[in-house]
Amino acid sequence: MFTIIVCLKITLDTSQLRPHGDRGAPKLDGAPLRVSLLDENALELAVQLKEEHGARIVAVSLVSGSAPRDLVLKALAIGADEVVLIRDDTAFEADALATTAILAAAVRKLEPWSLLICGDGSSDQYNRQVGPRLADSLGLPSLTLVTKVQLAGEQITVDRALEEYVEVVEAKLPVLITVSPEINHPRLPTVLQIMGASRKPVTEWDLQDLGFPAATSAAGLAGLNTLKVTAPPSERKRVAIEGESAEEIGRKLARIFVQEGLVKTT
Amino acid sequence: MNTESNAVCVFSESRDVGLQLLVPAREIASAMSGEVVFVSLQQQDLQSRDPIFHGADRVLAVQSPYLDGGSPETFGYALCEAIRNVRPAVALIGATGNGTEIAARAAQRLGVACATQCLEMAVEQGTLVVERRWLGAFIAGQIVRTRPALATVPPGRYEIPPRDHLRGGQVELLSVEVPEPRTRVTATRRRPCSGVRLQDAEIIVAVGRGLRNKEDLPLLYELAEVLGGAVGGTRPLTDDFAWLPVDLKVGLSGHTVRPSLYIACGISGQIEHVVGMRESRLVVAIDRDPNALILKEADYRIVGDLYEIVPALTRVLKDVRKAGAKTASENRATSGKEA
Repeated sequence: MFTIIVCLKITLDTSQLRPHGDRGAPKLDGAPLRVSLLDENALELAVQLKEEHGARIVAVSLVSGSAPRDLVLKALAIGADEVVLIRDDTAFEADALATTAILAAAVRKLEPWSLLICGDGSSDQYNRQVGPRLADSLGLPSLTLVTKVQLAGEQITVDRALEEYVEVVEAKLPVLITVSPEINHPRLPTVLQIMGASRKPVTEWDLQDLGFPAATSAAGLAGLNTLKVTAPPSERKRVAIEGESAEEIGRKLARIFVQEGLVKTT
Repeated sequence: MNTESNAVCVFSESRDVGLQLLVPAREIASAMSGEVVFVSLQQQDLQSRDPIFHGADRVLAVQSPYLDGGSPETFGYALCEAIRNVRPAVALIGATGNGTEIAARAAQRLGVACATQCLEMAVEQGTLVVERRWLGAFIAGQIVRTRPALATVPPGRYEIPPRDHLRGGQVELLSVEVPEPRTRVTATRRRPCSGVRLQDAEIIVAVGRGLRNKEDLPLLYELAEVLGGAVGGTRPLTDDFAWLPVDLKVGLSGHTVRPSLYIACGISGQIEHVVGMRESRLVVAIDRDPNALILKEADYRIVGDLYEIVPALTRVLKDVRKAGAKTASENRATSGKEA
């Protein structure tokens, strides 16, 4: 059976975070969690390939504590056949080095597979590191920034969107790809799919199950430590422009532009 | 083998970005009394002394048959070998699309951490400390505990240091074994490009996810036109939806702009975008969400719908210009000097 592994990162929903005061770190306790944006594209690609070619999809995630049940169910409802959760209480402190070590051990344990799919970067850190690092660790070729995929037997052909060019690149399976957001629009599961999802298997491993020595933690494997988090400084005037109508706001702004010499009136 | 050094290695797949990185590399190297080693993997221009003229102390020119037309994987391999040869304290890598993959491959082979897209870098007690975007709208101060400390730097963050053709330094050749590429590029095509030089625009009307449809873009273009400015966009608009050409992207992965006036329309204010526009002289932000972070970055903030405010502003400005033109022509008529 053709098996696709999809790596899903469960992250804080960064769009919901607000600074404490003007420059302070956001309050993280109780902040909503979500599947990292581009990892949703990765799962969507896997489901599309499954529909086209037939495949078994295993979603793998490194989580701290208990993963939100609704996120796991949603992944299964959309089309994952199994979810593997690797639990470590310090998962939030993992950097790409630590995440790669842990995911690589889990992915090895899940052999055989033909295709690994990751989002190109995570919504919280956006390092763009774990995909190619995982490929290196597993001895696989990597294709990053993928916007289109074609499979024909053992041959995979992708479009890669670089700064100025789109490259068409070929490789032989097994291979790891990371996807760009423009590759697809992730679907939402139907109610029926969500109901069926609870019957699919969810496997939980800890680091010892993956062969790490007893005292190992994600935080301990990390080489990058966060010292402090701040909101960026801003010395803007922050003057509110209000009005009874859009027209009035427009007139107030236009007056400012004229005073600042930004609109030539002659 | 060499012993560990206080050197700083610099590498980018892009020659220009590599030369830009000589700026932070020199600062870090002087803080550690180390040398700056420019790693060259471009087989066609391998022995160029150019990096020395722009500030490198020496060039390490890495030779391998598979680097000509190689893949990010093979470049990562070669970069790893170059770093093993120099044994630097720090290696800076240009965070281009392929450069990030090359950095990840090299870091993984070396078994070290890599701080990506660093906004600031400094050495404190022999350790690399960086500032990076974090959780969308925040900045994290981070310490790189592994040695060598790898860091990637966004393109365009620094200006290439001036050329001094009297500067001396050696170009050394290093032959390495690199495996045959396992991926093959069969075609390339140019991405759509606006041709506008956004970094030169005096006025920029920028738009983000607040725009609901590509078909609504003319609203922004009309405002830009009446102001004599250009339209720019955030990463979701250029990359995720491809509603605007990539060369109109403002932010960490696009342009850093410093116009006289920046009008942010329907932009939430993630760091990715903000670092690209925060040096603008005057910033106006229009967003429906009173908690939008972009409003903090604005001199004049409007909590409102861009679909109402932008067309109204365009109409008012058209009237102002018409009135201005009329006054000007009346002035000319009364002074009678011009035809």
